Amino acid sequence: MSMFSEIAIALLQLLMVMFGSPLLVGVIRKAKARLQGRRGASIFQPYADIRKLLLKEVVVSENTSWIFRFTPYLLATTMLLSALIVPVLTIRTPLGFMGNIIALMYLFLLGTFFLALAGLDAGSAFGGMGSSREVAIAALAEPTVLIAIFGIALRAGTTSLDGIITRFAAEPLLMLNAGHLLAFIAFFIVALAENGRLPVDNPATHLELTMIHEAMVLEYSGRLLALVEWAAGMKLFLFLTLLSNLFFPWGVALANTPMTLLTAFLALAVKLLLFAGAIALVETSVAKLRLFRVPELLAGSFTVALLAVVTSFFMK
Amino acid sequence: MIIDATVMFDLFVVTLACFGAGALGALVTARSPTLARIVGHGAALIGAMAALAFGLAGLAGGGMQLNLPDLLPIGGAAFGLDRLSAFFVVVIAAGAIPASLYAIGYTREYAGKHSLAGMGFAFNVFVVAMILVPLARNVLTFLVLWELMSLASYFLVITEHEREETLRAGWVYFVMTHTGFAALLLGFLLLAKATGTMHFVQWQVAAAHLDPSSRNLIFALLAVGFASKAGAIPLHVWLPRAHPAAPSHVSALMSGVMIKLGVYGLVRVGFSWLGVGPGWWGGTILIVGAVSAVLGVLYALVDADLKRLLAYSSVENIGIIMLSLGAAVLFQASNLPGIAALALIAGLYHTLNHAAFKSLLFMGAGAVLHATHTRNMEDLGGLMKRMPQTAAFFLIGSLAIAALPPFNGFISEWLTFQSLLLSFQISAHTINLIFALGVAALALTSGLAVACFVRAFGITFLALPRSHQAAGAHEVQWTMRAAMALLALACIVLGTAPSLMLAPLEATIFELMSAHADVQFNLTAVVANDGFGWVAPLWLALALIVFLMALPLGLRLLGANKQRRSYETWGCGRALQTARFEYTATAFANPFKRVFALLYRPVKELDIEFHPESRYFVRTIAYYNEGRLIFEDALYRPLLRMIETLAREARALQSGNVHGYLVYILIALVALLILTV
Amino acid sequence: MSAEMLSKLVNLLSFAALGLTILLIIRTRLEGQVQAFALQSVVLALLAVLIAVYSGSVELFGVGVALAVVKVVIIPRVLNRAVAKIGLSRVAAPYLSTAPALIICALLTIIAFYVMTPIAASNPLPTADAMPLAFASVLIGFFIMVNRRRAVTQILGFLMLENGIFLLALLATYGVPFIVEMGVFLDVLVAVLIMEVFVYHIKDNFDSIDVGELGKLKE
Repeated sequence: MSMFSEIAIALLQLLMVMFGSPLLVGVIRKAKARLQGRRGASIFQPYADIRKLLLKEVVVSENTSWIFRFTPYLLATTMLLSALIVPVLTIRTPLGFMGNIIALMYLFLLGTFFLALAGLDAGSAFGGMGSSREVAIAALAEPTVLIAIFGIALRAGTTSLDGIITRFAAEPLLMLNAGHLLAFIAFFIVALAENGRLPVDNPATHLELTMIHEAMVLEYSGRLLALVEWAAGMKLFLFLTLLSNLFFPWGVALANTPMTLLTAFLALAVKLLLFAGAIALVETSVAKLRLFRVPELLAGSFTVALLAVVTSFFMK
Repeated sequence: MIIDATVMFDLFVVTLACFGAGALGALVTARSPTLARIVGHGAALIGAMAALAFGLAGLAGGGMQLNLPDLLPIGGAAFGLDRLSAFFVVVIAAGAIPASLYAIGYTREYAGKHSLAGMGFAFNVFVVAMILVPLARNVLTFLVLWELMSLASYFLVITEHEREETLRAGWVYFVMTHTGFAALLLGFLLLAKATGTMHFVQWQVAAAHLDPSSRNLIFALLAVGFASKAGAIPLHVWLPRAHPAAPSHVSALMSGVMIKLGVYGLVRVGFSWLGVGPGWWGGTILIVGAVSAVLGVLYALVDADLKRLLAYSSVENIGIIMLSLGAAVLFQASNLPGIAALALIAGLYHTLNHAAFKSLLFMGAGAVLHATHTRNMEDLGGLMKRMPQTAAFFLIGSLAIAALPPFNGFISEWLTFQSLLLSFQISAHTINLIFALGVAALALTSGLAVACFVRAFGITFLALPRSHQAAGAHEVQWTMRAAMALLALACIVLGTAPSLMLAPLEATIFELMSAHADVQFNLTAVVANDGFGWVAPLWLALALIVFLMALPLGLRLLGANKQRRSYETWGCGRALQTARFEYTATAFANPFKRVFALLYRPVKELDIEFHPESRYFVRTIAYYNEGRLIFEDALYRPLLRMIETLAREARALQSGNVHGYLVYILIALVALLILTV
Repeated sequence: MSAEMLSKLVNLLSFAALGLTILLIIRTRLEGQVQAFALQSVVLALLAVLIAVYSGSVELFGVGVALAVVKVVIIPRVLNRAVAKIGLSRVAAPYLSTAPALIICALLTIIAFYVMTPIAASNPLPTADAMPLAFASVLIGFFIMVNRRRAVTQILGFLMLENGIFLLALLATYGVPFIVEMGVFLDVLVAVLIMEVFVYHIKDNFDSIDVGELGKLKE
């Protein structure tokens, strides 16, 4: 493949994540509104929100240090970097050699680390509360993530993202494989928890004592807030892309031709739409869990992930 | 590359001479504390540099043999150098260089209060003993050096002996280290008796012919001895007491380096002295490692004493290292030598990495202690603005220990994960399940470590100071900062260019178990098992930097508003934010306390004193939320009580009657005769 | 339908059944728990019909239909009536809280795999692969009975256990003879009715349906 097309594909993936993520957020909000009998804002509203925030001045607490100002940039950076690694459209990602799925998870963790520090930096009780809860949930979700990855790896024989997709795309009766579905369920629950969606955290709330992610970023404003929100959207986009492409690998381009890339684009759009609908459905039908019931949910997802691994051991 | 033996010998002699000069020099210059401080630690610094050169030369293939038959009875003193020993010399020297540099500035505060000559002497003895332990080649040499190391560190721990707490910590350390020593002694003697030689080198061949039961017994004794030095749970009780009590440069050495000699012993036991062990050895080490990792980080997570937090986190990291050692033994027993070598590389790399970031963190904590005179996180905060450089170094250490890319902890943990995940190639359900457990434990550990170091850094350095000591803190003296800068640099280099160290490690492992590790690497990338997993840390780091620079530029091109205004933190409309509004270290840890209540068994207490006029006004509120230490409560207390009872019973034997004692001697003599014949 | 296809489908449905057993632990409301039981019974009925179609057994088809009638319609109704009468919808009152209970479920499942995999391996039927799952369901049902304080939820544990045994028989031998199965259904129905009466009496006499209170009877 020529240098030019390599760069073009990398850029394509990057642009998809950069500009697709606000749309995804908008679609979820719209679907939720419709399910709840509201009309809801336009699906392009998140773009307008980001634009508005970019044009506003930044107000920073005088207690903060450079960590607070640096974090939004780092957060967006980790997501952009992940966009180059995750097989969004194709498994032949030009910069996919930078890391496998485990490295990817640690890259996300790097963002969480800084965001939690930024929450503490202003010295407000809300920020501290948000950070404390965020890292608690991230820490408790980690075993599920890795065990689910173990479940995938031992069936695919690899932890590289392209290898997993190649292997699963070739497996007959994939959707009837119990271990596969269990790993998917576990990963889905973790994706909800990591992205601060219901029933773990409510992205729409600003009620002081229940919010987690929103409490942590309470002090942000202007372009810094725009970056934080945008990064959160990209994280959701990347997680859902991973879920779609790893567990339902149909349509992902195995070789890079204009035709396969177009198919991959359409397939991804359909899959993401379905996931957006699923999330909207979950968020309409379940209430937020009390904070101290979240570990139970995560213990449940861990059990499911462990079952996936055990099943794959015993039932070849 | 073969390095000339005389060069090696010269380096060895220079190393010894420097430390000797440092020890004596400190004593000679005892009159002047300043001189003693600089001479003692300065010589140690040069000695450690020579040791580093010696170790690196050893890693590059230089060997050394040295027998001094007259120095010690029973076989004399025997030293030798292979790559594994050289690697540990490198680890120790890499910890000792910054520690000595740091000590030059740090010990200034002790002048007039404590004997700097004594400290300098003990420091030199401690470091040189540590460097010599991995070089020891027979039982007696090893044990003498081991004991020397323990004693020197004991005296360093009780430097601040005017405090009750320090003396207690020293006592616990003394007892535990000698219990471990007893186990080692017994194990060594049994092994020497069974193989008929005191020389380490001859053991591997001879051990293959041992009968399984005595081999297992020897393994158990040696493993207990080394694990107690490493601080594995449940033999860890001395560690969270002794490490915080010692002066910070000594804490850095003890946590960063000394406990690694326990790891050295475990590697020797598992892979060379006793030959290839059965799978259950590995399973045991792996499970002990998993438990140590999870419990260690859980205890670290709730501790408000900055140095004790770091000490508990050492227990965690030893757990991670043991996890990979255990995995290596299991793979070896399952006939997968390539993956075994990979796991061992991961463990040894983490050993080096931990030496770098734990020393860095202890020095950071020492700097904080130096500047504020408190280790209690509830009194700290806001140091980011007062000690910006220390804060930056501590941040790098925190990122590295939380295993985040692109720092060194990430690489070793990533390698560990790769080796654990490769366990699916073994087809034995029990072993598979043990590995699944290991994966889950390591994942939980790394998640909790992130939480732990967000808390450690965030509460200590960010937002507003919580006490006037913290408010009045200043940046520390330059040698201390230079030491931290060195280690921070090491964390970055080892994280972005792992091949620098992976190549010699690969050679080391090959020499140890004659199997090539299942890993390929070049300057930019590490690939495990033919594409099972890969990571390119240098590229990750570069991409991070590129995006970090491109983003602000992009925003500017988009026409984002550049204005920034400083204002108070939002306080629900309440004006005047003070430090009392901040989240505390205790509050931060509370979700974990609740989730893992089964482990912490927290005792809550709320004392409210109401105003005499009205119960609507409160005069004071005191809230205690102490955790209990289950190992101390459930294991050591009953054990101590039992020993006490036994001792009381034994007092009956002390009749004070000479004839009685003679009878004992006679019985002992007869028993010995019967046993030996 | 090929044997491999059947095997995969059976595995999947057995997993669903096991998952629903575990759901009983997560759900705190009794209505939700009864719902989980009803759903599990639907899954079992589906399985029975599926295997009946594969093996061409009319008898098994009948068992499936009867199961649907008894366990999907009648028993949940009886239970819901009991719940409504006692007015205790929110209390499961377990001894162990949810998170550790879930971990125990995982351990029990692993044990079930250990015990059942060799047995399943010697069974030639394409459905035998899923036997460990059925056995896990039995063990977890038992655990639920042990872990619950309230009589009504204990009944649910019992029902799950019984479902697990049915599933095990179904997978291992394509079900026991029709007449035996009918007898078992009848027994279960009668047992539920009797327990319901007992629950009322316990409630009347002790003002609580905490089974621990029964310990007082010996005094």
